Amino acid sequence: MSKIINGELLDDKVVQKIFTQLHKGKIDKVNAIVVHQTGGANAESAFNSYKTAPNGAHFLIDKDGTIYQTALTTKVTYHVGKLKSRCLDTPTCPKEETAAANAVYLQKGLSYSVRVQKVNDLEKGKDYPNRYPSNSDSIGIEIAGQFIAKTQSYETVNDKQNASLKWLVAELSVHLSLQSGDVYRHPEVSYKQASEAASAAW
Amino acid sequence: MKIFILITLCALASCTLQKSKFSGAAVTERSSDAANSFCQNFSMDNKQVMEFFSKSHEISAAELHDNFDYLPCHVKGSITPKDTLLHNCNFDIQAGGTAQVSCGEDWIKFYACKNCQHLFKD
Repeated sequence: MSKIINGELLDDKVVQKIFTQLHKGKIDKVNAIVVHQTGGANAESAFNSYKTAPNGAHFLIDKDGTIYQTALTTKVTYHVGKLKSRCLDTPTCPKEETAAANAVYLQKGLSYSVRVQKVNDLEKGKDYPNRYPSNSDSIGIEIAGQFIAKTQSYETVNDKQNASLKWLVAELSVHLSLQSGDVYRHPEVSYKQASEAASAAW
Repeated sequence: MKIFILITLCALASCTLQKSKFSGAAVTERSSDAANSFCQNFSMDNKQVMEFFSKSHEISAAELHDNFDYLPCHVKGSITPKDTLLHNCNFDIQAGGTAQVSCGEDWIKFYACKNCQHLFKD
């Protein structure tokens, strides 16, 4: 059984490769896990981007199933992007909240990017689970996998990667008291290609 | 003297205009991945497509994932990359401000434009 000490998930299965550049503040409480694919061919390309770019997640699973921890679980990283409105996917959401989200999405004269930014701002004023998990309360797990332009889809997550993902989600869920409904694929919560992490299984 | 200054300013202005990487854009299709999507009215004409590509820069698939929103509405058509022998090329501009240009199966590039918000609204 693994342990989390000072934000590090300690186990023989996890390689510590922390990029402090990814740390953007303190997480008060982890409410969820968001599963991603990197869009690049392997872990190395992601590591290179982590050295200079602001975005990245807490863990990365390479093509051979190796799990790297790339940020502390106690730290915010920028991995989610702009939040979709959870109300529009939730039949039980109060009507006025649904109407508010729709009004922003359909606001003429604003670019689509500004509209999704405003929806994001609306959502961040809510608590989880009334909104999708955000950077401030979620752990990100990246799976190395290319976006294949020919087919307009992400490559299939392989068996070794899925085995590692299953283990990692199980361990983090125990340590952070998460339920099965607290694990999301990236396109569920933000504006991403639908095939991203579609073949991820845990 | 005034004429000299005017000519110089005009020359400088033309130097700062970005050289377009493409020519001959022709829109053939608008589409949406999902029914009743909030961006389903997204459209561009040929001139706007050329403006987008003249202001855009090339990005990688990883940058597309990390830094841009994928919005499920598209304007598609044909286009020709300049200074190449490539032909039969197609573009797919998504409502989030990114695009893909493909010439056959082996030449595919991604583009983004952060200063093009005026082109992405209805």
